[in-house]
Amino acid sequence: MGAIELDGVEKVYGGGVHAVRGLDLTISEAELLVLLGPSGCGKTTVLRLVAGLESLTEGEIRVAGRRVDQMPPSKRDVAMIFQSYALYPHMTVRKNLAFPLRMRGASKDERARRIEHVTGLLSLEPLLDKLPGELSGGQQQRVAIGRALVREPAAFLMDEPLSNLDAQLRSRIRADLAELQRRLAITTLFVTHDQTEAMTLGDRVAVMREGCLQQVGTPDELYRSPTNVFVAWFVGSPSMNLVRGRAAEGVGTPTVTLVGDTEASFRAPSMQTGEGDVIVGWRPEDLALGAPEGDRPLLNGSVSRVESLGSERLVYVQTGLTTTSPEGEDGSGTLVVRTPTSGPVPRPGENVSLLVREGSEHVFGADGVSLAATFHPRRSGPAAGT
Amino acid sequence: MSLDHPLARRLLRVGALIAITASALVWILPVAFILAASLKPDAAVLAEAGGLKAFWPSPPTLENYGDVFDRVAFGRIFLNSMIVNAGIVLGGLLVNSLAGYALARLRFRGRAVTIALMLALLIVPLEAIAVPLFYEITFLGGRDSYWAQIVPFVANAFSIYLFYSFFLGLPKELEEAARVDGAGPFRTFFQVVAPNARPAFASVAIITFLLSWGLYLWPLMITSTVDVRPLPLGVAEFRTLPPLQWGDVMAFAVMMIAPAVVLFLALQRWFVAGVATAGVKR
Repeated sequence: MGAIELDGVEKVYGGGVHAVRGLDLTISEAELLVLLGPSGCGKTTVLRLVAGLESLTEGEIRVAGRRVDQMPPSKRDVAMIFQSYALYPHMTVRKNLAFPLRMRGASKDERARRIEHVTGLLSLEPLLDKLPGELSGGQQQRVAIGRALVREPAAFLMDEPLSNLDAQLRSRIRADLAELQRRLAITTLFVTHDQTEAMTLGDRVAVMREGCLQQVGTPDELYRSPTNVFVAWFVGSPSMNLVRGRAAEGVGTPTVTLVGDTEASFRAPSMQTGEGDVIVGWRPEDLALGAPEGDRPLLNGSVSRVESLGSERLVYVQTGLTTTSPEGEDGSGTLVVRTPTSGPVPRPGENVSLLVREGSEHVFGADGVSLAATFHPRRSGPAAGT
Repeated sequence: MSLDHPLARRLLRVGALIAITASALVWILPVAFILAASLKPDAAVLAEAGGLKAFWPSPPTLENYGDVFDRVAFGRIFLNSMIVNAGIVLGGLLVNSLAGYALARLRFRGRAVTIALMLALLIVPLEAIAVPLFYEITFLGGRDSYWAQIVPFVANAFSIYLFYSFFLGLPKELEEAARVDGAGPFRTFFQVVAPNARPAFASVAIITFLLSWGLYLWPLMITSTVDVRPLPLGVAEFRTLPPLQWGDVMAFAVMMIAPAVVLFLALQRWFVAGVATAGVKR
């Protein structure tokens, strides 16, 4: 077991595509770090760089303290689990498990011992003499994990290993995987575009966009204190509501005026003082409908759509505000509100007032970087621009 | 009456069936004729050739087969063909699969040009290069040898192309998994890629075998003794060997066709799959 360290890693493909830009990232020993981002953000490239399936343009990669970026994949002491599992179709499960050991010249006794160990760990016993084609998706997944485990590598690399499973199985195997990783304390780099997976699995999550690292932190940190508009929008489902506004120095605390066909102002004590255009974000659960005591309505709107999810309800409220996205495209002015299922179901077309939980706003500058008073950007580089 | 009418569809089916049967018969009848004639006394072969009796030996006799062995060194000629074909097929599978794999997976300077050249070679027939090739092989001292009959046919543009398109359709992850698991390029190829390319190997084996089993012009040019001459030359010479016995010639022909039929039947499951999937991304 050992840490994976990436220093100033750059990857430029033949066609000039800059897939990874100046990536500094350390996955500590026994940590499970999830690399999260939309497709095409470079996260899989990072994984393949660590595995040795792509060559580095610049920078350094170390596994367990050993520099590996010039070594062939077989010498790097990392095991990989592929999205498609990539089990060898012509070999039985037993032979699939033995393959990496045979390639490393393990003795017959050693092979038998390790296969037995992994078989017990993952309950593969009944599958040993079957071919991959005879197994269900979940079973194939377990064999793929077994084939990686049997090598006892310094680190695990996982490329969206759960994305081919149906929803029920996915959450169960996700839990199993997390438990196994903790028990065996294997350093793991896990790539996914599914933020639920990232939030539930990762000790820490690293968010990438267009080849740049956006933020690294625990799932809670990412959710509560996103450093830029992109992370704020990408982490959380449904996404954070983003609204254009203007900040002005108030008496003591800054005031933000939301803009659009209607305007609304509120005081934002959480924000650094300053003036100019800003983007304000609220999580769907930080908004509410109606008029409970103690809160004052931010503005009025009309219900456009209601989605009942069983345990909660998502209400889409049409407002006159200018909503926006990390790409800077203006939206339709619809805000999403997460409400409990108790109480009457709002009907489409109904006029409602929107309430906000005090201090729950996230304020970002026009460049997309957080203006939270507690946030001091360490790097000026990879901001999500608008 | 529209084409959707049940009767119209039925007529269409019957028509199609007749057409298929007729074209199948065009191919099957000569083979049936050869088989039947090989089992007849020599005098009956031409006498019965004009009618339905041509396809029915009564009573059947194996005499002609014995004659072939008595009159020529059939065993020797058959062995020559087997050696030459084994060389061409096995050598071809190795060389062409590796070449196709390299073109499908490796990125190297000149790859596109190589593929274009390979495709261009598909249209060059042996006859066009036979004379210079003859001088080349003579210069290398290959007259009257097995290797002179094998080497020119090992590397084959069509086989490379078939492998190339098959490998393009194989999922890359398998090879990447093997690399991460510690296999080098050759082990990856022989232990992971090749076992999953059985349809391609079977197709190439059959096609190569059928083409080289019938080679006539080249062995005629490059060989002169029965020690190395293959079956197509053997049957041609046998026909000119007096006295002309048509029953014997037919028996020779049957024994010549048999290995090709056996091989095809043995590999046809893979062959059909190979032809159907080659070049199709899965």
